[in-house]
Amino acid sequence: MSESANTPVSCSADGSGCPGCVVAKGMATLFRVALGALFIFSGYVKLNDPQAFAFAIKGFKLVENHDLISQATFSIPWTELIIGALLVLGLYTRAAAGAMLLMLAVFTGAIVSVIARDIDTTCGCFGNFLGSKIDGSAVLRNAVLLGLAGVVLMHNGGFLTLDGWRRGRKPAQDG
Amino acid sequence: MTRTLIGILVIALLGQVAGAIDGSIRHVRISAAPAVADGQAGAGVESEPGGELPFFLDIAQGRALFEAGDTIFADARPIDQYEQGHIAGAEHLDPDAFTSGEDPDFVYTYPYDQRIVIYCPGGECDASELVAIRLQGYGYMNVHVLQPGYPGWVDAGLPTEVGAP
Repeated sequence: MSESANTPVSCSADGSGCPGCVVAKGMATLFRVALGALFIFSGYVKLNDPQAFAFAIKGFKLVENHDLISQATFSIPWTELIIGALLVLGLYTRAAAGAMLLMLAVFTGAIVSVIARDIDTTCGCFGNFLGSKIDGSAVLRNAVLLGLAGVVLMHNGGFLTLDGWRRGRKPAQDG
Repeated sequence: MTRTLIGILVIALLGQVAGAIDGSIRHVRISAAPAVADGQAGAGVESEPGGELPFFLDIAQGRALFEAGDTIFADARPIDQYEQGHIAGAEHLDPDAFTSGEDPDFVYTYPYDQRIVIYCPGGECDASELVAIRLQGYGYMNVHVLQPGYPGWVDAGLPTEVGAP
């Protein structure tokens, strides 16, 4: 049952497994909260201006069906909000980080396909914030985010997670 | 691993459900969205060239926007009238386009800050205003009605064209 049994790293819950573990888990904690906040922000700005995001999706020219675009316009930011909230709280961290990895991978694939097809459109990744140009830098940014999400996944979100608190309440399963 | 995969599925499902609920609610409320889609395709419109324009435009005002070239003209007359002749470059967008239960292509084509001038046969016709109200409901902020309508445009000798949308 213990999720820490799944981790490929031998860090124990309090980071005492090896000398670098406290640092690694500390970094994971930082990344987890930062990525969570980024996804909440990203979801929020999209929901604040759904029409702009609908245009962005349409601009990718991957989906033409209006019903699908409408659904994606709202479900993508809501999924981002849910993932972001779970990551900030450190609740179901592995699932949230895994979902984030999948989403980022899909986004990156979409961006690469836009670049490959030489389409001139905006990213809509963060609404109208943080540079909406689609070019190599967007791919690079997503690659960095993927790496950070990978670290969070590897270390179960680091310290200060509700997962850890829940495990702590079940002494038999800890560590 | 299995728990994680199930968790991912649950998150994806929750996102879809929340999105579907939000989308169905927002469909009605979408006019409340403060939307300026800058940088979007089709944008590049100055919000207020030469100050605020009234909702109802006369031919001179319509002509000025037409010649500036950054305004979309929308023909709210029935399709057969549109095909017989319309303002050059105008889109066809009659009130029926909003009642089929699907969003018209138009609202996926132009950003909210796009300036739009709607016209119908002029005089007593209210199709333009119906379309304008619908577009404003979607959040379009720069919507105008060309009050003299298509006859006024033709009488002024301004550019027209014929053909299907």
